[in-house]
Amino acid sequence: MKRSIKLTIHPIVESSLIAERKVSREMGAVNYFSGIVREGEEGKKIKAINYEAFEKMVLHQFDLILNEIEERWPIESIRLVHRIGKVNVNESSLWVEVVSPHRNEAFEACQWLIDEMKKKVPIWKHPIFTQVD
Amino acid sequence: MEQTPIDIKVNFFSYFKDLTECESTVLQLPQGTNLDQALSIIRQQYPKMERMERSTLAAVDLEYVANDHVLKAGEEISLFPPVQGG
Repeated sequence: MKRSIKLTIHPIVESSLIAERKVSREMGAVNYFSGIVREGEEGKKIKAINYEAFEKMVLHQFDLILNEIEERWPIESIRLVHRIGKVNVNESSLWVEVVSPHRNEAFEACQWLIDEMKKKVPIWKHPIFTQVD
Repeated sequence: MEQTPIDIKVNFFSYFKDLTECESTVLQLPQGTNLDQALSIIRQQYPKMERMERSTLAAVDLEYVANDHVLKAGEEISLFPPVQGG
């Protein structure tokens, strides 16, 4: 299974990532997920989230998650980009691409990857609240 | 023969840095100390970490390990609250 896991402080340019897509002729499904920073956090309005990461462990834990995905589903490739640092409301903080022969495994693997990420991958959110006048 | 203590670096992430007022520290521990014992020592040294006991995740180097994991010289413990990726 081909894999690419990247952390970046720069905005995620989804159109560029999609343009770089490589899908072999046997594949029939590409699933995309984009996580967007919402305006509401803890019942208050925010203007951004500052993402903190234990980077070496993030990459290692994602590797372990992808190892398990490779065991469970016939996935050709996974690409993932996670922002770190300040991400504004309405910007993408996470981008995932899963390529597989059929749609079921693409949907399932993508969901599972994100569920596992939310349990194990050491990234934390520090909301930057909108100032109340 | 007395065994030399081992040095274990402890890293704090997220608001644990605020609670402990540091990003990392080095503990001198007897050989054979396991993770659970090290966490006890850390909570004694940093009393504000006591109330976080139930919501503390601990990693040794880059892995989650069992509490009975015996620490080896050069290993690092990282402590952090529940993760929030995505």
